[in-house]
Amino acid sequence: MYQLIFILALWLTVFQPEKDSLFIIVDDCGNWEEWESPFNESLQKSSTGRRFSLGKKDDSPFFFLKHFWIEENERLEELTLSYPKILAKNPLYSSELTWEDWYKLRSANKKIYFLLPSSYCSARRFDWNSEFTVYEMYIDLTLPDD
Amino acid sequence: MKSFFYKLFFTIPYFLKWAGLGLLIFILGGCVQEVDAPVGKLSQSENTDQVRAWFEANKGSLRLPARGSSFRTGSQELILPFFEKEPDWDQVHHYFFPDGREVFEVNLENKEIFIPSLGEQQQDQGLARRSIQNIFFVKHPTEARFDPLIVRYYPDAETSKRDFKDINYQMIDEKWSGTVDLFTYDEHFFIGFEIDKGKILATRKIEVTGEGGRRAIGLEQLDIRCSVTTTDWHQISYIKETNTWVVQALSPTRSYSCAVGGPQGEGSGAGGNYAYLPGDSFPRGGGALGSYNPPDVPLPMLRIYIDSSITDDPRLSCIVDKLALSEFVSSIAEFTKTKGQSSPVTLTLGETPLGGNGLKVNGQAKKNPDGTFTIVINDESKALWSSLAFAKTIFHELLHVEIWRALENGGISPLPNFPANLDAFDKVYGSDENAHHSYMAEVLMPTMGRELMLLHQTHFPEEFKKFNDHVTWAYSKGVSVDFYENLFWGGMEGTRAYENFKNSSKFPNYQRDIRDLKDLLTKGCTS
Repeated sequence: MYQLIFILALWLTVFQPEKDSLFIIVDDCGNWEEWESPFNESLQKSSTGRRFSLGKKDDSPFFFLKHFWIEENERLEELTLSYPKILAKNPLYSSELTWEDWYKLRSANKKIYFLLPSSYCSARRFDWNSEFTVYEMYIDLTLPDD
Repeated sequence: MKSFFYKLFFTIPYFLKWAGLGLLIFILGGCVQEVDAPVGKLSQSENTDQVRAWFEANKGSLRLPARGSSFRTGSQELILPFFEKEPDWDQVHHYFFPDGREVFEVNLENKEIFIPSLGEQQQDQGLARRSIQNIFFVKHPTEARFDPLIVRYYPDAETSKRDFKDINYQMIDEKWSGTVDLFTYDEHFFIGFEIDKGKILATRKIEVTGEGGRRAIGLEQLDIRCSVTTTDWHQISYIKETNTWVVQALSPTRSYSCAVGGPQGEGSGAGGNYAYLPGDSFPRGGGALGSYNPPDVPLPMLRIYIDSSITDDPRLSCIVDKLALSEFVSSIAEFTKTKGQSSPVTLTLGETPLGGNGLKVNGQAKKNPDGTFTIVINDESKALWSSLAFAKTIFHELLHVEIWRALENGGISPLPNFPANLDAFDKVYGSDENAHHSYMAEVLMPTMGRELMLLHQTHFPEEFKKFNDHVTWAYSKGVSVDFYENLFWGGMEGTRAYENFKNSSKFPNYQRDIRDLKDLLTKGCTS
């Protein structure tokens, strides 16, 4: 019995269950704009790396995708994958998502990786040997106070 | 014999002559006495002389020391070092308070008068012309002194203009409307009354802050709610040589306006709410700052029960505790973790309704059929919010409840510039679903921003400092209250004020703050 408990504890320590992940391809490229975080420079002391945001061009001040962190231990990931591998992840497409979908994804407790418009809407997409960077981002959807 | 009749013959006419003269004097004397009785023309009387002698001997010690042309304290009292207060001893009312104390109310024929102002300067000058300022001396029951108060009558229209002889503190006729303000001799505001056709509608007391930062009012208004009134003051001086008025604006004062109806309300006795207490040294002159300290009791306020859905979450419970320490929030609400019938408001986590964009809102305040209120915070959002965002939403919803309460209480509330009643509120802010937000956007926004900034600064000092360091490119002089106001603006969509804001030069900064700056606010509340 003690052996079983020991093995189970070891298994949980070594093989921690990973947070589920999800891939989204931002395919409605014309609807989005990308900008650098104004804190890119000032936050380099606490953690290096590029921070940026993706926002809808419809001027909504309440909905953004953020690749942003302050401290190193909060750093968001970036992965390098070929297009076929991305497709193998059964990605969602931004053009098909409703506000309600974004709202649910925001609270889904999953790591969400995005293929950015600048990558997807380029000719490289058709070169199956090309590799793309996908960025872990969080959904910043500020709801109104009623 | 000759001598007896001789004496009688000459004595009778002599007696009749003096008796007739005495009778004549008696009759005339009676007439004169009846004519003078109502107004008490006592300029040369022995009593008035006593008051005058006491005043002349003590007036120097009653004054504030000279500190320049005007002086204010943080409590925004109207305090002036001194202005001429020379009584016109030929115009005196003599009467008694119901408790028996003797009063001499004497006109102040000064070149200066201080008037509250809510309108244009010309109106103020009209008010100056119809106002009356007197000084009254209340004879101390046991000591040889006459405690003075300044009384100012501000008629609200020409129809309430009165001559000196037609109005005094114990003789306000049934047609008179306006404001009566009492000041101590050293110009601390003492108490005021709003009067409509001879009836006291409300009292005003200066705003004071007691222990724990609670605002306080007089003991006599325990059962009634008060609203804060900001009053602008003008000093009007008459230049006789040029027959002109010179108007000088003074700093505004803040006072509590309390509806009458409590245990010491209308008809409660001498001087409205002024009750003399044996051994009380009021009014203490001698120029001492703070010589008048109104009794300090807390205002009746909302009691909010914090549901276990929030107390069980240390992070949320922590931020509610911090919010409760805010001076403004504590003036309208008290938070409790003990459920009871005396908690008309419940704060809980739960499911919120869908907003205009089809998404669940952050929070919702709702009025229940039994008259209580519930503030629901979106439970799906709690893990995603910074503590400041959580505080912002609770604050917003709390204001909805206080607005409802204020409307139910005839506009009496600590909320600033709150309309007197529902009709007045509807007239200014409409009666649709955006009415509350319109009032918040047009009136409360500076208060909301300031309180959120104070919360951040006081309870998250490290984050506040780092935030300031990082945003110098946007706020070169350090983050301002504008940033914190911007966090609230999203909840004001649909109002006219939001449309104006959208077209203003401030809107791009709002977009910038929401888009990028708030990323730095991630701190959770931990202690």
